[in-house]
Parts: sequence; structure tokens; C-alpha cells
Amino acid sequence: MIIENPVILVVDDSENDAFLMRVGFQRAGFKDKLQFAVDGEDAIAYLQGQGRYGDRTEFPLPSVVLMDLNMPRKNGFEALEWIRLNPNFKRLNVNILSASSRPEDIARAYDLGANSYLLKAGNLDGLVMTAKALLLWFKTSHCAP
Amino acid sequence: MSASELRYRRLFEAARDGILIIDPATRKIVDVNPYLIEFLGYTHEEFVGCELFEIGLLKDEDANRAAFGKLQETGYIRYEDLPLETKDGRHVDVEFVSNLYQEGDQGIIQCNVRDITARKKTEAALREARELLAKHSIVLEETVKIRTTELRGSNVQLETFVYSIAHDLRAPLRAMQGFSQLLVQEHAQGMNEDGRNYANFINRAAQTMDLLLTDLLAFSRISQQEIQLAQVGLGPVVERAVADCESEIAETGARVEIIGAWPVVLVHEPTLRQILVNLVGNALKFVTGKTPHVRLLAEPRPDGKVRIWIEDNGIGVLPEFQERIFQVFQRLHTKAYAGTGIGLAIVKKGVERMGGHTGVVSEDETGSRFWIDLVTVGAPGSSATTEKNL
Repeated sequence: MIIENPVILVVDDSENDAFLMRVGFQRAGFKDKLQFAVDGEDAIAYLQGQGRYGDRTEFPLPSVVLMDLNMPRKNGFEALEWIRLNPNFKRLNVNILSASSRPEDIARAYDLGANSYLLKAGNLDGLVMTAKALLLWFKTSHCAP
Repeated sequence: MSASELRYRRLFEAARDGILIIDPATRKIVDVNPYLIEFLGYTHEEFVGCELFEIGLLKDEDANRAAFGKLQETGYIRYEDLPLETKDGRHVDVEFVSNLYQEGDQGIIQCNVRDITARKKTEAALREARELLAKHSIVLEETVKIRTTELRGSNVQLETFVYSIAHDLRAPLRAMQGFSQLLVQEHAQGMNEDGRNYANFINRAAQTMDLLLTDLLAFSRISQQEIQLAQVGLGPVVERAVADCESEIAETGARVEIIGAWPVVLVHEPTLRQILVNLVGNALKFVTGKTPHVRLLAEPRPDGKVRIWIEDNGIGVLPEFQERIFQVFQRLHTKAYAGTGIGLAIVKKGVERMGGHTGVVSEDETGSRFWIDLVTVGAPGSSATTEKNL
């Protein structure tokens, strides 16, 4: 199954990054709305459909998650760990999108089952490139779970 | 008294060792010299007629008998270290040697008693000092262990600190870069030229800061990371490092010569590669009005190390700056050449962490010859000269 029209959930506590991510994906040709959660705890609530997230027309289940690492309450590692232990989401496509290039962070993310590890681009052009690459990859990953 | 008897008598009287003469038949003392009288405090009369155990020289009658048995058998007994008490109860230590002679048709036993109390005291003091020293060295080792652990802890803390600073500073920086770009790209019409310039300044400053943070992270990593040295053929590493610079080589039209033979060295390969990339990158960058020409060659050193030369035809480094350029954030050129001033600091730190040294030779403005010394393993590898001219 190709991820043709992916529902992308961005988990990031930085409003600035979230805003720029929206611009980046728009410029990369992504027509749909990006979904957002502000930290790991919020992401779990989203996936479980708690509270307002119960409205699945407004907040559809994501096919792809872009996860920041350094966040308050529950960080990206903890959220990823929860996702991989949950029978409903254990195969969910989760990509780390972090500014950390620390080898320990990268290794830990993959150990916890991240699908890929992307470095946050410093500028808008880089962000657009990352978004384009991701969208192209979704389009061509013919055997997604 | 014959002449020889007289001589013996004088020796007996003057000796600074105690001497006892014993009759082997009765095991009783028949004569004692003045030194022993003075040393143990018994009178001549008290000595004569005694058996050895009675003046404490042997433990008891049984020991006395055993000693005399052995003396009869071998003609010789020796105790290296006997504890004794003088008549007034003072503790002394003696070396006791006893010989059985035949004098005509009768036997005679001569015992030499040497005072070793002072020697023993010195030995004991020495032993005590050694024990104390050992104790101190244990304490010292423990202290070193604790300090090392503390230091390691603070190193980790420092690394975490530098990392989190660099990481946390990046987040607002991303916003500065992103929004200033948006301003230029989407709101240019709403601004006059000054406005557009200002937005561009913000953007460029943010980019510079991003570079600074990247290099700061790289420097902190090269200082802190655990590196394991391995045997690596120098030739392929040099070639890979030059390949890493390919876009700069293409941009400048530079000529890069790699001149073998390259030995096997003991290094951390990724660190060495970064060092070479930094040096070759500098050689390509700091050139004015000429096509860069870079030469890489190896020279065996008398101390068994190998010196890699990275020679360029660039602007050179004046002697007064040749040390400073290896320090963090030290730049000689503010505008003309881009950079953060960390490249050579990384070179120095990286080379030092691999047990080597680095420096530069440059007399005038016709070029620089940077060098790094590395620890070698065995003989030089195959000789080869390749040239890259892109």
C-alpha cells in the first residue's frame, strides 16, 4: 500500500518550528493540513483519540509521524517507546525530526524502532527539501505496513 | 706465651665482636673477651662456668644440647638473628657463629657474638617506612581514582553543557533563519531596499551563527569523544579526504597532488580524515589571485613518526600568528575568507589525541606548509603518485 495521501502528525513543542514546517510542506507541494501535537504526551492522547482528538474527521489517525526528541512532559523517545509497545500503533511510520546529531541520540532512536532519523534543517530551503524528500519517499514506498 | 698466642690474645682482648671460648666436653664457658663483658653486662666470673642457655644465648637446656650435637657433627653453627637480654634487662639482637676446633688432642669451641641491634633497628625502620610508603601509595592511588572519576564526570558534564548550549541555541536560530527568509521571499514587495537588506543581514548572521555552533559541536566532540587508535594505511585516508574536498577543488580549479609513499599509521580514522579535510580545505581557501596548488606528501621522521606535509601556494601565515591560528575561534581574516576559526583548533586537538603534533612553516606570502606528525606502524607502504586535477 502506497502512502498516497499521508496524514502527517508533527510532534514538536516549538511553535516556530511548527509554523515553518507548515510553510515547508506547503512549498513542497503538500496540499493537506499537517496535524500537530505539542509534546509526547499530547501525541499519545492524539493517537488514543482522547478528548477533542476523539473527532477523527478533524483529527484523523496519522499514517506518518514526524517526532521531535527534546520536548517537555514526554519526550520523543518516550512517545516512540509507547507507540512501539502499543499493538495498534507498533508498525506506525515514525520518523525522528530532531536538531540533535549526537550519535547516542541517533542510536537510541533506531534502537527504539524509529523508521528514520532526519536532522532539522537550519533554514527554510533545507526544510522544503526535507519535506519534498519525505513526500517522494511516501509516494514510492510501495510496501508500507 | 708464644708469639702467635700473644697475637691471638691481643685480638681477643681488642676485638669489637664478642668472643666466648667453650669447653666442648663440659659445654661450659672457659673464657670471654672484654667486649662481650661490656656488651652483656656480666662479669668475667659470672660468664666462666656458665652454659650458653644460662646467659640467654640459647633458649633452654634442650636447645643447648641440640646445638652442641650439631656443632659436634658439622663443626659449625650459625644463628643469623638471636634475641638476647643483657644482664640489666636491655633487649639486644645478635648474630651468633660458633666453630669447633681441634687444639692438639683436645677440642675447643669459639663463639663469635656480633651486636646487630642497630642494624635490626635500621631494618625495622626501613620496613616501617616501606609499609608507610605502600600505605601512602594505596591512598594516593585511591585519590587518583576518585579524582579521575570526578574529572570524567565533569568532562561529561562539560560535554553535555556545550552540547545543550549549541542545541538549544539552534532552535531560536532556526526561527530567525526561517522567518527572515519568509520576509525576503514573501514580503519583499511590502519593503523598500533597506528593509530587504536588513532581513538579509539577519538571515546571513543566523547562518554564520549556525556554522559557529556546528563547529563548536565538532570541536567539543573531538575533544571529548572516546577514540580508539587502529592501524590504518595512510594512502587511502589521504585520498578519501581529498575526495571529500572535491566540490571546492572543482570550484577553484585547484591542482591537488598526492605524492606517496604512505606508511601505516596508528590513528582514529574518522578524526584523521576530518583533520586532513580541514587542512586541505584551508589550502584551497586561503589563496588570492592564483589557482590553488596543493601538495600532500609524507616524510619519515627520526623519532619513527611520519610527517604529513600539506603545502599550498596561498597567502601564508606570518611567524607571529603561527601559534595563534591553532587556537579556538582565532581568525586572521575577518571578511576576505569565510570561516569560524575552529578548523585548525580541531586539527590540533585531533592530532594531539592521536599522540601526534602539528605546526606550520611559512616564511613569506608565497604559501604555507602545514604538517602533522603521526605514530607509524612498520615500514612505508607501496609508493605511488596520483594527481587530481579537476
